[in-house]
Amino acid sequence: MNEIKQYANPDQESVIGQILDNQIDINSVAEFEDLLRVFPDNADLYRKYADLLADKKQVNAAQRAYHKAATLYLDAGLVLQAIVAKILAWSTVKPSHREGIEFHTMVRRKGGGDMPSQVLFSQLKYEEIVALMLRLTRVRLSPGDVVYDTGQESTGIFFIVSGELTETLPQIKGAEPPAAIALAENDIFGDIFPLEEESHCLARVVATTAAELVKISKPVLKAACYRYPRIRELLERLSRIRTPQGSDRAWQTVRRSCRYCLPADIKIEFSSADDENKRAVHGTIRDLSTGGICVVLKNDTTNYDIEALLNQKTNLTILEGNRTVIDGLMGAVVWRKTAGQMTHPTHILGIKFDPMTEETAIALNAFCTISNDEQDMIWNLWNHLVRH
Amino acid sequence: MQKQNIEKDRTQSPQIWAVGGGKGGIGKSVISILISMALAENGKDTVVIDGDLGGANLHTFMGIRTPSRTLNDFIRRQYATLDDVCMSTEQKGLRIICGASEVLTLANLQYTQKTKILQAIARIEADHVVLDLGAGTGFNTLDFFLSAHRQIVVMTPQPIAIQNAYAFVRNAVYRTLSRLTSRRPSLGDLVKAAMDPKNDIRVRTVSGLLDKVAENGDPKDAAEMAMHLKRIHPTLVTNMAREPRDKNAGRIIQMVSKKHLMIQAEIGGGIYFDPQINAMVSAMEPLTRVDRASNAIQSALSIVSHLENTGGDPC
Repeated sequence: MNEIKQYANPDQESVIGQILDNQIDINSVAEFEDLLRVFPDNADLYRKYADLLADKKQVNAAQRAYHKAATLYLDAGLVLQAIVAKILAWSTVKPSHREGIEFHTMVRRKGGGDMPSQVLFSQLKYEEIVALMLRLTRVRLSPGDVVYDTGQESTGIFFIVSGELTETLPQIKGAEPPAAIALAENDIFGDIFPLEEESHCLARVVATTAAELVKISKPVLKAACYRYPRIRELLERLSRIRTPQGSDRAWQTVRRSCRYCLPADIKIEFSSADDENKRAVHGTIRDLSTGGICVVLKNDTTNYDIEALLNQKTNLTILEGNRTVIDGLMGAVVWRKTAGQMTHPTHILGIKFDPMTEETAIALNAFCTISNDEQDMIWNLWNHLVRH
Repeated sequence: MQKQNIEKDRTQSPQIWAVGGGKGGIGKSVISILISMALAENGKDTVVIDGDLGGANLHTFMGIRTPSRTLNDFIRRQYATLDDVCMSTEQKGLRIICGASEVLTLANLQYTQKTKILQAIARIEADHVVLDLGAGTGFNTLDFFLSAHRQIVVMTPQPIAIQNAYAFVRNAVYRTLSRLTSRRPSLGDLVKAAMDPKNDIRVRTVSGLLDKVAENGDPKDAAEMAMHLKRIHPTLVTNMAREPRDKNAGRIIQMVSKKHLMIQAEIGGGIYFDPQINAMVSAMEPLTRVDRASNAIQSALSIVSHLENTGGDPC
């Protein structure tokens, strides 16, 4: 078990989200592997795991994990994230031509979607994608980091791999202050046009969360576009001329808000050979999948010895208030973590579900069935139509 | 037992109204009662049923502490018809069928029991039957909702309630498609896959699903599915609105449903937050005594009048 390093507020956010944001720090490979048993299809977790292995110089294991993350990203249609994972995997062992071709085929087959990066990378030909992949450089940002400010010379184009940033256009005299525009994963930014001339940044871009970007410098992009004119053509199609109203960005944006997960209460009963010793604890979940869950235990469990819960079999009941929404779920505790302050710790359990009946699986799917697009539309409309 | 106008020569089944919405605590029961009262005030013989399987409490809004008979008595065959388990209320023309508090019996309703209840509801001697559904999106709740002539989805103006109400509508759509394709394994698998928002088949909307169905087989299947979807016509009611903007909550679901689910939801209006209702609920005073000039009852009358004028096709 890791020592408690920082304050976390797991009631407010997704546990997985906090792990990805480094609010909950996991620096043990074994602990990560336990978590991946709960969420075997979470590409972001695999990527994080691969980064950890790379930090620990476990090169081969890191490479395998990056490949796995790339596959999962592609399955989810997240081409840019898959490309970055592949770049990291291939940074130690160069790929064969066949591997490169296979990856490009998968990108073309599984890529797509509405987001600017997805549109760009999934339409590139093999030579074009290689030309860009070889020249992408990673940029890691902490909240508050300024990528560039208005008036600075433009140095390149940026693609958001993860995290959120805001872009603020300069205020026009006599006009209302411009609203900050939220940029999220798969958005593109950077005032690179005209490519042949010096250009300046027309907005200020600041990271609002920890973020990972990839950048192509303007001279490199110019050379790539010279050699492969389709790259320029695609980029120009995704960009647009700013309007005098000032609210438009230089790049098309589709997704502006982040995923919101519904919280639910859960009752966990620990079975034992002796049924008389059966005990129940309550918690809250936001990370729910058909594979397993992360549960933040309620406050009355602060004195629990959660080490003792590891590997224990559990019966689970998902609740809405006092009402049972889904029961008949069973699983085992495969991961545990303590976050928060030493005096007021918060316990988190990762539970892997046992095989379940089809009916339970359908009920579980139905419980959190809203896609990102639907969630985003609801949130955007709520901000627009209802929020006071 | 009160059976007003029982002498009426009834040749038609009652109009069934279902009130659902996913989230608990958003006022489904209060709205069910207000709608029932509004119908009764209009001279219609009305029965309100506590369809909250497993969490019945509608009777408490009517000031009934312990119901002498419940829906469960009908299920257990202690009474032959649902009219027999109806209880009178203080409102002329309005009767209530209380729910059962024996959670396990009704919460896990079997298919045959559900069918029996639905058939019995259709035989109730009344002009209108209002079904107050429980929270959540269980199959039974959805099936009762989908069987109704008037499908009312309640939400409050908070994002989580809107999201829950949308999830309720979404699940109703997929429940319809699942039932339709239950005897067609390949189509059923496609529908089941599409339900998962992160599905591998890259279907993100119902229209995308129908395109896929048309691509994979006979376009007639897709056309039939589209036809069934037209029968889902939820009316969106925003409860506990405090400002005019709050009433836009329904528009959100209307727009998202149109884009993602291919269904045309209707805006039923909004009911302003009414402290009188809260006070009555806390005091266990029957809601039938609510001031007829109150915002809440006036809004309910307006919703009923609007819906009665727009018609409703039996499902």
